[in-house]
Amino acid sequence: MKTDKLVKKVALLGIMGSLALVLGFLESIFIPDIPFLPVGAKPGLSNVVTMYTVSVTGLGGGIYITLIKAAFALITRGATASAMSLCGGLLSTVTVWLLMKKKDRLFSFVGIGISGALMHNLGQLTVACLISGTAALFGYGKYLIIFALVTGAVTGGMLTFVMPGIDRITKNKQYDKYDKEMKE
Amino acid sequence: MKNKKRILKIVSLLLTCAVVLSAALIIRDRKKDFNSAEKSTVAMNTIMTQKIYSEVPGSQITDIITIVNVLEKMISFKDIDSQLSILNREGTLDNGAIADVLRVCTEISEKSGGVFDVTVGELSELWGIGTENENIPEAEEISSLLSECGYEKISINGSTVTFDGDFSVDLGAVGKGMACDYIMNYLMSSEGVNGGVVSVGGSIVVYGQRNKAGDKWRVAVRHPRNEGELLGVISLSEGFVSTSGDYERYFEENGKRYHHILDAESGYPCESGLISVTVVCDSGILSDALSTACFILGREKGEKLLSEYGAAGIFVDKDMNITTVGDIDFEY
Amino acid sequence: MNTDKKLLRTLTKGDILLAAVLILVSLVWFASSFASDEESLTLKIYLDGTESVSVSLASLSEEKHYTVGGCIICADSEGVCFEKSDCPDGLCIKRGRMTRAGDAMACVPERVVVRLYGSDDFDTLAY
Repeated sequence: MKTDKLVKKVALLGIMGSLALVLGFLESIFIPDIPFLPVGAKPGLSNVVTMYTVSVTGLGGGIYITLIKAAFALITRGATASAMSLCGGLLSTVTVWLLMKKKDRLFSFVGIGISGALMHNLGQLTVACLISGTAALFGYGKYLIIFALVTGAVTGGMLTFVMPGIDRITKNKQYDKYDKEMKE
Repeated sequence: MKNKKRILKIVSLLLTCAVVLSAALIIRDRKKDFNSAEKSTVAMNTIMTQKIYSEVPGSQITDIITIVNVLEKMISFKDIDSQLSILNREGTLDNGAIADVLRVCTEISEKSGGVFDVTVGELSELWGIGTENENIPEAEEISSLLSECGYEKISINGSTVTFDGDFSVDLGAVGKGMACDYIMNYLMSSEGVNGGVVSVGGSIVVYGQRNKAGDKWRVAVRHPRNEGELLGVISLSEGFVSTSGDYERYFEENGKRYHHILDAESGYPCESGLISVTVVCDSGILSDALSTACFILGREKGEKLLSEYGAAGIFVDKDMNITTVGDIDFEY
Repeated sequence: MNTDKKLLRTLTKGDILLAAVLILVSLVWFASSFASDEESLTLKIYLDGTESVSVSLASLSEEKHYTVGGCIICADSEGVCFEKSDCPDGLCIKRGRMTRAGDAMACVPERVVVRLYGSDDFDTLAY
């Protein structure tokens, strides 16, 4: 039944949203500043959540998670952090969605994770440069590429391992919409 | 799917915007700079390095070299034909520039209780610190020379200077600062100069703007002990910076360091507990003279002297304790 | 299981290609920035105010000697010093070796100035 699916979707999004916030929060506490990278750069473990949500609910769900994260950043860390999170998150989510959608998929979750991490960093860097008024920050790029490669691979790998288990728990009904799109 | 194509378009549009914006920022960054030229020459027996920011910097650079060479000819202690040497020999001279600088020096001598005194030229020569003749003179030699010296023995009337005693004035302590003053006057009156930074043997003058963004000049200060390291960096928009230290010219004997800054009261290298003093103010002669005077006076009296002239400074003592005085932007 | 089997395969050719491209790009980026700033000190020797030698220290794989005016200046990838000079006082030789950006030394009688330029963040040095 349609309402049944909707309720499950809302429930899923609710859980995923909170999970993303918790992961982000834990990251900010336990992960120290990384040398050579801008202050505050984190591995972005919450991207696992975003990727999973996009694979199950499509672009809309992914954007929802992004918005939640940006709103949280606005409240806890301020407008700059929020703008960076929003820009990076949107760019990353759309990229992930596109890559998952393609009929001839190039990448496994690992490659998708890397691409998502890359785009996330690009979005954040761009906002940072716009705000600080200098292009000098792009100098961090060479370090961030490697960082995105590593963290993206890690988040992608995590999702690969975790996916079968979640499949079993949630059963198949959430995939209906996604599978329909895939067949076209 | 139509949806997919649309999203693809939007994403590529966003990416293009990001790239274009970044490119624009990079170009904007580059355009912050004025045209400039740099030159290093030997002048006043030391190294003069200048960087002039203007449309045609070459002519200004040449002019400045000429100005400093002319000044050197006038106040050189070693050159027997210089105006200063004539004054030292004859005991009298009519020269406005020398009269002006001596006026400032005697004022500081007075305010420092006589420990800063440019009349100890012959005493400096006796010590010979920084030359092959460096040695520790006999106490009698020192006291006999000292008895002849004294800033009180200089009388200045308009542009006429008269010495009432047998001594020689050495303007080495303030000569570079004087050059900086001349350079500042020149830059201010020169057409089309956006900015300039000149170092005359370590005495600095900065004028105008270094770039269109109006960033302040960054003047680094040498670390008094660690070769090749910096003590810190001063940010200022216009002015003069001078440093006096016990590391510039010295020799060591029996584990004791004999540096070139003499206390004019004792006749020996001063022992004020300081190893470096940097002064920032609005006159080159003053910044040179004050840095030397404060180095001899020590921190407490030095601070008072600086505030009398509205100057700012950095004091470093033997234990590497750094104190700043007055309105100064110093990061260390 | 509805999750596409391809997604679950741990690594695809595409992944490897992506990783390889990224590593290559960042290596190139690193190499270019390393060559242009970081350790790159430029040695300039002036005679009578005119620049007579300009060379990047990093490009000196072994010791090189420059004769400027009446002085012989010795330089290698780490630093520079006056080795011989026609001047009477030899103060320039006594000065020793210079290794830091912004530093300068000179042989006054011969009117030779030796300077090291680098990417340091200051306009001038007070000493």
